Amino acid sequence: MNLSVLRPGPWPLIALAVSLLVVVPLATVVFASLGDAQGSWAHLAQTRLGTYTRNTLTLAAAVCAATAVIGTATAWVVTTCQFPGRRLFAWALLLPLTVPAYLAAYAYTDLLEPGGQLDAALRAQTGWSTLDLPPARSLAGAAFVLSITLYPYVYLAARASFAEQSGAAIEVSRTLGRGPWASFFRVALPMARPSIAAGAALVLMETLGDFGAVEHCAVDTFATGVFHAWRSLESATTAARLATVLITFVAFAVLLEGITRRRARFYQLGTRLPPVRRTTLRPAAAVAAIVGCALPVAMGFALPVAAFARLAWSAVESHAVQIAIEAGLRSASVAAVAAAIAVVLALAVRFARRFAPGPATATPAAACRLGYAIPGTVVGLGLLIPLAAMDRGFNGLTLWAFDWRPGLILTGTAAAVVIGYQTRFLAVATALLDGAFKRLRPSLDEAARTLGSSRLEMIRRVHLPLLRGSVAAAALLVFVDVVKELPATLMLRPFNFDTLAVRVYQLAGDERLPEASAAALVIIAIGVIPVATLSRLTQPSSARTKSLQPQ
Amino acid sequence: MTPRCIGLPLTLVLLALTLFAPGLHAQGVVNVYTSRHYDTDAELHGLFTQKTGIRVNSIEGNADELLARMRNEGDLSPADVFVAVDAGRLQKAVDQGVFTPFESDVVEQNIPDFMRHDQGLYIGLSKRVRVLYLSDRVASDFVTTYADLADPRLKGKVLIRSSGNVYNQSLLASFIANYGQADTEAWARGVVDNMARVPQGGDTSQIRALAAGVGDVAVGNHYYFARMLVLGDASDKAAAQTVRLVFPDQQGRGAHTNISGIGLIKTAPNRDNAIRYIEFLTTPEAQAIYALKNFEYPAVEGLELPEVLKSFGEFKSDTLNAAELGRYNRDAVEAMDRAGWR
Amino acid sequence: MPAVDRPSTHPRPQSTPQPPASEPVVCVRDAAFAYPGGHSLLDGLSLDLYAGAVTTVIGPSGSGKTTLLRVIAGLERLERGTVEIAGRAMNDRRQHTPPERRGVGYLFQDHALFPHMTALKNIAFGVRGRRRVERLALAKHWLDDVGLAEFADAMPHTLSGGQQQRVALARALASEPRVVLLDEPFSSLDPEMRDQLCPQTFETLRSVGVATLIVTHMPIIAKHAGGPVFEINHGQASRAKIG
Repeated sequence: MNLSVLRPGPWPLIALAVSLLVVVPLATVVFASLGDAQGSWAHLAQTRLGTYTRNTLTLAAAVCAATAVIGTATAWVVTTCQFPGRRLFAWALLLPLTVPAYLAAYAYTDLLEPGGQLDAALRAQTGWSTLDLPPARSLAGAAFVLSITLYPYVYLAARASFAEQSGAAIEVSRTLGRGPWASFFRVALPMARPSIAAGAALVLMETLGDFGAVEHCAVDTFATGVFHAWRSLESATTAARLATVLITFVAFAVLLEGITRRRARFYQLGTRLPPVRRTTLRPAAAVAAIVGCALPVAMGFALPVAAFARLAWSAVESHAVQIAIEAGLRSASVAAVAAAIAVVLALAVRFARRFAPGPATATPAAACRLGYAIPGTVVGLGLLIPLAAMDRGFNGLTLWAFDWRPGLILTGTAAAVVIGYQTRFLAVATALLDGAFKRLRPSLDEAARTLGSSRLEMIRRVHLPLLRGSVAAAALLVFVDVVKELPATLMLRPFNFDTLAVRVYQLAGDERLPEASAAALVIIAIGVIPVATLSRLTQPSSARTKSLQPQ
Repeated sequence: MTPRCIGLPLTLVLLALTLFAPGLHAQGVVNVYTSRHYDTDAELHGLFTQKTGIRVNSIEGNADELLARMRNEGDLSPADVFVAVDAGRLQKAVDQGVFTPFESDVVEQNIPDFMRHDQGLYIGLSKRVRVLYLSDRVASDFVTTYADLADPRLKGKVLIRSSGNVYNQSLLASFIANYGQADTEAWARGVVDNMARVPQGGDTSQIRALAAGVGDVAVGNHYYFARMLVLGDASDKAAAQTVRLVFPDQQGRGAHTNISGIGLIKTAPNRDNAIRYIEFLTTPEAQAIYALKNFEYPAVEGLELPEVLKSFGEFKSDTLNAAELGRYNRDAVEAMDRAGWR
Repeated sequence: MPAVDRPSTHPRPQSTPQPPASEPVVCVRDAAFAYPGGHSLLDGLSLDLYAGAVTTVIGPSGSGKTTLLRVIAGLERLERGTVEIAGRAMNDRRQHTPPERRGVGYLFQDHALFPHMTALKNIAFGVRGRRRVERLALAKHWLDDVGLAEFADAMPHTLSGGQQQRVALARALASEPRVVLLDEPFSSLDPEMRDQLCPQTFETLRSVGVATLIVTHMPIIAKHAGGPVFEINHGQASRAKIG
């Protein structure tokens, strides 16, 4: 029995307060959608609602399918086959994760634009034109860009599943008379299916919430609809209704993820498994494997990076570098502050669950995990309304009490943006700390308490030192996510506050991509840092092979 | 505690303070909500600070976004002035009641009457003309009016950006004001039928696509073309040189001319600084940066035009009052929605 | 538990005629194997397995017991030496018969049931070449046989360790192997369950008439098995006496 059950103390209240960061914007949007839309909803329903629905669903289906195929195939090849460059690809296949979909969209539309550089070169060399290719600014283009940057979610999940379970299962299957292909389709793939589905559910959330890429590819979805309704049809109610529909879709993705994750737990084989034994590929097959693994990396990472690098080089005399430095410093400082706050809040929620287990802390913790799924435009809308009201209320109060108005403390400063980041990325920090807390055995607490530590002393002397690595990792991931975030920043930012993402968005929208290219490269470079770390954390195969060396 | 222990938290707290400290009511600042985002703004603001000692805070964004923001902020808004690149948006700001009139001899001296709102709520700072571009594959009189764009003989040949774009909204608002709702919607349907591709990209993108052969006629503001000719890279320059600029409706009402402009916010916390900022923008020195460096036609008369604008020649402008563009903005958006204009 | 009374339709390895008892079903000669970079695990090991006999190899962990099973099953390639099953060479310098064409049944230490299939489907997985209905019927017989008829639709994670082991045995036997290999069987069970399950398992194996090889570190298992016992030492097998 946990000692702390006896005194829940303030912990449930703390957890509840933190979860308001996620609950309030959601509740605001749903509540606001009940208002009177003054005819703008009817207009929207007649004209654009069908398009939004069609585009959103088609895009979601296409991206999920494509990422499932790319992610699973590459994960399988990298986990079970031996070929030159395998170790490099195991890592490099994650790199597209560092390129936000909107950056890939900018790079590809610029590259493929009729009359652009590639087009001119093609015409000169071959007489072909990019006009003969499918247009980048289309539903297909958006699906391509999203698939090629999001497949690593599936790849990571599938790779972990293959590495942990498939070795034994495939061997059993083969001793039971099935060949390698039959073993893959009848055993390895079905066993990995829950993991693949969980990865695809993450892809689904990202796709539903994507703003920058679909906006640039001229595809109207619910996520862009929320933004446009908010700013041009002048009806918060209409925007809130669109947001509510979007939340419903997202809720489906969250549910799917939860269900598949639970099932994945049962799909574990026993505990003592031999590592996967990789088959060495014959030269022809090895070449195919190399090409198959290189293509996603090239399209999702190398090509956009090269495109931006070339643009940056061509614009080296313009303000490109200056823009990147100014916006980069701003992004870095706000991301550092947001990450620090997120880690503190996530720790608070996790300690609350530990010291006062029960629904009073578990429910708020679950709510915090939802934040990541809420699209940025919904967060923006859902926070602007209550924060502005709070600002007005507070100013009314000070005016009445002191005859003085402090101004917009929340919406007029970076506070709004930082709160928005908490809403979205608290989940990232919580998820990472979840794993670390599970490894802290309850007996540690009991030992510390019986040795005479107060609870705070125990946190400081026992828990925090043990959690240090995870805390750093959580802060790093939040940092990177903040740097990449676009739509909520766009809606919530104060004066003189154009982050890297916002600058790039503005310049790209203005067809001045060369000036944005240096900033784009900085965003990608910052993203590479955690991918290197993340890759080490989630690469069970190599570590296991070492520890399980021959008996 | 060791210095190492407090180092990181201290840095973060300081960082947070610099981020959160609004400094919006400090002496010597002016807060600008602007939908212009050109590099020349930094130069302009530097010059202003140098001359007056007043620091410029700015937030750049889409005009609608900024208006939504001001509505949300109410009378607590830190905004002192609002800059829009389209008369429709300026009028929308008037309708929202965010502007207040102001008196300034400098402004009255520098800006001609027709560039000032009739109740003095905003002033125009530059003129931008929505022109037609023809490819070198068609005759120079292939298209001469906006009405031609809906002509069935142009099927699959018209390049124009999306209905979300304020320039298109104002163009259609001017048609509604001039010709009525029904004719405008019929025109919009005709244009949609003639489109060479789903509307996408900005004005420059239309010109590039035109040069690449996606269509034969494109619609865009004049300064994008000038920018390509002067500042573009080699391929942009080459593309622009194959394209001919046409001022439309020269026999009729004249080319649709929009303005960018500025207004004083009713709740401006730094009213005096704001007026000095507006006055500054009307000086020839500032106009040479604000308008000419972006190849717009300046509001102030008598400035020497850049070569590229001279090469476009003289033209006749539609003299429709900017207020009309704002009045019909929503009708224009809905007309395009109904016509299936993305 | 009716481990002996099997229905008359019971599948027996009849497709390949049983070699005379004097001929070994599996013949390992001079086998040598080492993991890349590791020390040598098998070094000139020789061993014969006979139909209907349960042979035990005991040795401490790390002595190469599991490797021996994997070599016979074709999950590892030999560096030197030969493995013959039913008189056919399974490997030489150039060629290596893959596990699915060797006719071996393998009981893994952790049972390795497919977690996404019911108990019945797990057993049916190894049954080849007949119609689906027949495959399921045969699998059902085997499930009856190990006394788990009512668990046909159970998912593996809902079964106890002993039940999982019995399903794994039925699955291995249902594929009609010539030889069954058991890796540390019963090691994950508590002693009571082990003493109950052990005799039943061997009874079933003997009655099927298949050649059986068990590797274990527990002498008690060898005693239950009642067949020849070898000890593995320095990569070689030698006849051992179990007291």
